Amino acid sequence: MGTALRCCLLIFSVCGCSSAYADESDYYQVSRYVETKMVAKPSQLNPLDGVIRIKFPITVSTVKDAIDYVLDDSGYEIVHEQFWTPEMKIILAAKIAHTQRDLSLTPLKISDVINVVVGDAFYVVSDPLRRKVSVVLKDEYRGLIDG
Amino acid sequence: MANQDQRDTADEFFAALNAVDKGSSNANTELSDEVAENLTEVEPKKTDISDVKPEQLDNVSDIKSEQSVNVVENQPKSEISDTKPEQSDDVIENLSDRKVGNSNAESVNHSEDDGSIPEASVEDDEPLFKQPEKPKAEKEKKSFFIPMVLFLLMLVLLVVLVFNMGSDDSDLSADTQPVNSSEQMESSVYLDGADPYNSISNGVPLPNVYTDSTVPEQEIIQSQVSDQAQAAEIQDGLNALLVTKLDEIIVMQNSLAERVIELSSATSSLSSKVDNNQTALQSEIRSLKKITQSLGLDGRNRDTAISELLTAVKGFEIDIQNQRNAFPLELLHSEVWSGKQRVVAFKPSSPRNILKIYEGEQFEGWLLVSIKNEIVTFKNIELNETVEIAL
Repeated sequence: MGTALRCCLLIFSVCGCSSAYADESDYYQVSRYVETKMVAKPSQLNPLDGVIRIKFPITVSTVKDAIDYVLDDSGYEIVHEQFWTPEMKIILAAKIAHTQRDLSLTPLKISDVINVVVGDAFYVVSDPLRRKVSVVLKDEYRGLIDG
Repeated sequence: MANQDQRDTADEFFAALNAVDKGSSNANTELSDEVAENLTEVEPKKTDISDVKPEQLDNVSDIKSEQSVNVVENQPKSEISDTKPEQSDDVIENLSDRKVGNSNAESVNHSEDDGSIPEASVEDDEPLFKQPEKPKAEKEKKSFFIPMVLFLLMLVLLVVLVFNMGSDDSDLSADTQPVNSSEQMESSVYLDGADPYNSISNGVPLPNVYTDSTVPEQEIIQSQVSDQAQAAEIQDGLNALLVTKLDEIIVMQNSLAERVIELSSATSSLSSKVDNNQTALQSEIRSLKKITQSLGLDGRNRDTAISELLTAVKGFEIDIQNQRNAFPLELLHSEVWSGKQRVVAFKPSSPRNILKIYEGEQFEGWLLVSIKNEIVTFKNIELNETVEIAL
């Protein structure tokens, strides 16, 4: 019984030391009692994942203006106009809803804000290589374009 | 008339001689008779003279006057007074010579008419007046009467001379005037209406032409015609010269008139320029006067003007400072972007340009200090002033 207890203590001590070593490498002690984990934030890894609480100013009137306002300071932008699809042209020219102007009370990712602005008929696609953003009409709404 | 006077004088002379020489010899009487005869012989010749032309009479009168003068010259008073009976004989001979001279003059005049000079006749007459020599006793007998005779002779000679001179003058004036006047009036040589007596204007030697009877009229006319032609040529030359000079004067006058016109135009333009410059100068003087009045002569106005200017500048600076210190943005709202708060704002000058200022960022000297409870705090970095703006 004694030997078994000693083995368990040894195992726990080794594991504790290893775990302690591992924890010291992931966190950075900012002060005496504060440590920061040394991991990039999701907004830093993917700017479109940044959480925002915004309110569209009066100068923003269309969906395109809203997307531009949201993507500002993110490094992303809407694809060039020559790549716009017809549905994309329609939705980007549409006016923004008044209920969608004030989003300061609901923290949302940037991609979600874009998705909110363009509506449920679209989903947001991004090109991380060129840092371009575009919207694609869902299949169930394709008939609106063809018909 | 003159001949008659001469004859009277001769008679008187011989009457006096007869009175003096009462006891003279027969030769003397004969001599006097001969003289008287000669005189009587002279008379018909003198009557012939009346038929002579007036020109010849002029010559005769000239000769008479010359002979009378020669008589006077040959017998000065001193010689006459000192003369002896022999000399009185010489006087008689001279008088006879004068008579003979008259006859010679007449003969000369006749010879001039005839074209020959009869000198031999004069020499033939001279022996008639030669008296034979008288004995000394008779001369001494006459010595008492010599001064008396001489005195009378002198008187007679003086009277004769004076009378002859007066008669010559009267004859000359009476003879020459008609000749000159008639020839002048009858002369047909005139120079195109010019005054023939004006020898200065036309250069015609009138005295020589009208007094010298020896020059033929054709030569005179030819000379006058040649003179007239020369005068005409000279006149033409003078006219041409005058015309050229007048043309030159007209050209000069035209050039002078053009120059005067140019000068007048230049003076007018210059006067206009002067007027413009004067007006500009007067305006400058007025502005300078205003400046001097604003500045003032004692300097007080200058100080006030400077202080006003400084106050204006100071106010401007204050205004600028106020504008600079004023908050330049119009804030819209605050929001959270990826965990950071920011303020959405715009400048009044460009309302469509939306500005997004995060906490800790600076915009035109204004630092966004904090956003708490809808209150945004900005701090002016230069003035170290803080501004809180409620959203």
